[in-house]
Amino acid sequence: MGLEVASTLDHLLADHASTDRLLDAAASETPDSTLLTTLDEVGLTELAVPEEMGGLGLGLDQLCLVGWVGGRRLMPTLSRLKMTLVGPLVMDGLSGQPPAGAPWGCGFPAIGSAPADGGQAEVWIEEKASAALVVGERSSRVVDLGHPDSVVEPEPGVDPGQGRSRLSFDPYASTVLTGADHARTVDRSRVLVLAELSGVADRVTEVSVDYARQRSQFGRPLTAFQAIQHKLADMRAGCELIRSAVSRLAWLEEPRPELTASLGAAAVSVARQVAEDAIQVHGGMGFAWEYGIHLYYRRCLALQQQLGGTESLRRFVGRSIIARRKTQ
Amino acid sequence: MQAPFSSIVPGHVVPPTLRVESELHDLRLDLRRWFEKNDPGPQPFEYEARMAALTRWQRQIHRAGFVGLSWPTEFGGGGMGLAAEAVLCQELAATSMPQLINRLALYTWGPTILSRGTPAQKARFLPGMLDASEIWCQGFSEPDAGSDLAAVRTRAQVSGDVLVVDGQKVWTSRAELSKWNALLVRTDPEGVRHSGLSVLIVDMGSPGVTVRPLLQMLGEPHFSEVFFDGVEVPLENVLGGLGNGWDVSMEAMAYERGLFVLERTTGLRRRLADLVDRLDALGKIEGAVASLGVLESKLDLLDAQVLRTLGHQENGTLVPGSSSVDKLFLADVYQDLFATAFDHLSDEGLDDGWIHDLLESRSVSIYSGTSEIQRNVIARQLLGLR
Repeated sequence: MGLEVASTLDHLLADHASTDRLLDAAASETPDSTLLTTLDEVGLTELAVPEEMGGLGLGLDQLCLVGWVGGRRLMPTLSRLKMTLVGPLVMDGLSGQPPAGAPWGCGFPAIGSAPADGGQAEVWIEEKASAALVVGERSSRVVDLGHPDSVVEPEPGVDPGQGRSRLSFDPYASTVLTGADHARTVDRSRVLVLAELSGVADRVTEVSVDYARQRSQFGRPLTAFQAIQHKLADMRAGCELIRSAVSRLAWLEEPRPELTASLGAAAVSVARQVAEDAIQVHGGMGFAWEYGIHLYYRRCLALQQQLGGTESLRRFVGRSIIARRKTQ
Repeated sequence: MQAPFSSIVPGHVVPPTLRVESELHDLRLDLRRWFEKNDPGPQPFEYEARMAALTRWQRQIHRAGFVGLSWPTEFGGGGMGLAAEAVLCQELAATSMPQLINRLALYTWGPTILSRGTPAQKARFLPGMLDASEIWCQGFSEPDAGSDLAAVRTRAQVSGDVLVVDGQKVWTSRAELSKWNALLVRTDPEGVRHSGLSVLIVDMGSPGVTVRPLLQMLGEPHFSEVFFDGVEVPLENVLGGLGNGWDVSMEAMAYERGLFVLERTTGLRRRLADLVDRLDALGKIEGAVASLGVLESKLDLLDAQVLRTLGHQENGTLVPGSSSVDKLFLADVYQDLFATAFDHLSDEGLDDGWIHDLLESRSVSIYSGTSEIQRNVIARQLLGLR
């Protein structure tokens, strides 16, 4: 099942998310609503919803395969959020919300962040969304975007064109969702960030190897130079490490949120290095807007930010090992 | 530019890792109870006393039935899967002596003999590996063949039912303690590079073997030069057939990346816990929280990588060259841990143990294939670059 979905997604994104269209979305700082609707229509939001609730109930490893394809093709951030959070949380929570396949806004719970009850949140919002899901560790809030206190300020950030915004809202006017599966869904959504990173890193490494094979300098392809070979080898090693992190989390019998945080903290650094090396291997091309290598770098940085601020994530992991040591 | 989706093997995208959480719960409890009762206390600092203590320790663990858990029962093993070995490594990490002295035999040459050895070789060599009565070393590097391993010049000539070995090896770890040496030699003088090599199992007590300890940078005789002067080795001690030495060596190296790296990882976990304790005692932990987080997360990532490699080993799906990633990252994590410890302890609290481990960490990016060689392997075997 996951394989069919992943294959369909791959074809759709190949047709509808060309480098040119991705660059257009980035330049205009506007999400590609046609693409988002197309992805909604193939049922992405149902994949992570358990079968007994009418979803497809894909296992975590299968979801990771889908997320990985999404990473390779730089799938819109909103599609991942709708697949991993809006779908399962809205189905799991109260009724009376817009269906997950409708336009939504959605936040992402950074690891170690404060609960989302302060009336301020970072969310990704698509055009015509009537509600936004502000996701916390144990509960989430559905914010009515038509409410007079709901104010959306675009904040495109490092990966523009994804609909990233700052949402101010009245917490008392929002609906709280506390489904039984909330914490598990949140943990899975973080594993899916790593799956996406794995796809991004794999793809940008393939692209770099291909480029280095066909680009000649000093009468030889770049791949003939050991300096480049070793850089590409480091990139590939990084890809394998990220894949291992995803595998480890995808095959756990029970979720281990601390391990997700720890592997996440390591994987985001590795992925970022891979994308930086990709720019370097491409030389001037890597720095050019039109070639789009920066899109992979931007996505890596954005995913790193979503998972948690670098320093706070490191401190979160550090505190958990100290706490474990003291209870031993 | 983009590989078609049909060429992607989904099993390679999210490959199953070796499961170590819920399985083998009883074994884990048995180990924990036994280690708690039998922990030998901190290992001696002085080299020879340390080696002797480590040998006794492995023998003791073996008597309790916990060494060679994944080996077939007919050779004294536990007949379990690789997960059992992983559980042993994890539990061993909580002890004061988190290593097995004969790990080269247990994790590298034992599995190679199980895979390639004759029935007689299995019966003869495997039992002594388990109880540490016969320590193993490995004779690969030579003065003119370090990273360029295929340039080995130590020769072995067939003469009746023996091979006569002449030549010199260098940087052989624990040669002075070893009963057996897995020796890579050139058996066909006409052979070019990777062809014409063989692996011989050489008795280090044979006439003509001379071991000259070399002090490494810690001042410890951890490795040696080993000279072979007309050393006679029975033909039945050829491992994996004459002329197959390169393949046999590469298979051995692949084993080495699995449990061997896991064993190193668990030792590092122990040292990270020591570092937490030390910083806490000095009242310096608050300033080190983020650094400790980085180390913990890198250790978890290394674990994930090794558990994936072990999963591939168990399923027979290990991609040639992929385990170079494990070795490359092991060196990175190993060196980062002790460098970080130095940075946080350098003004106070840096004892001889930390200095020892920091200096020793420099060997990790050199032994059993330098980090540069690992990158060459990855470039060649995983990326297809030439």
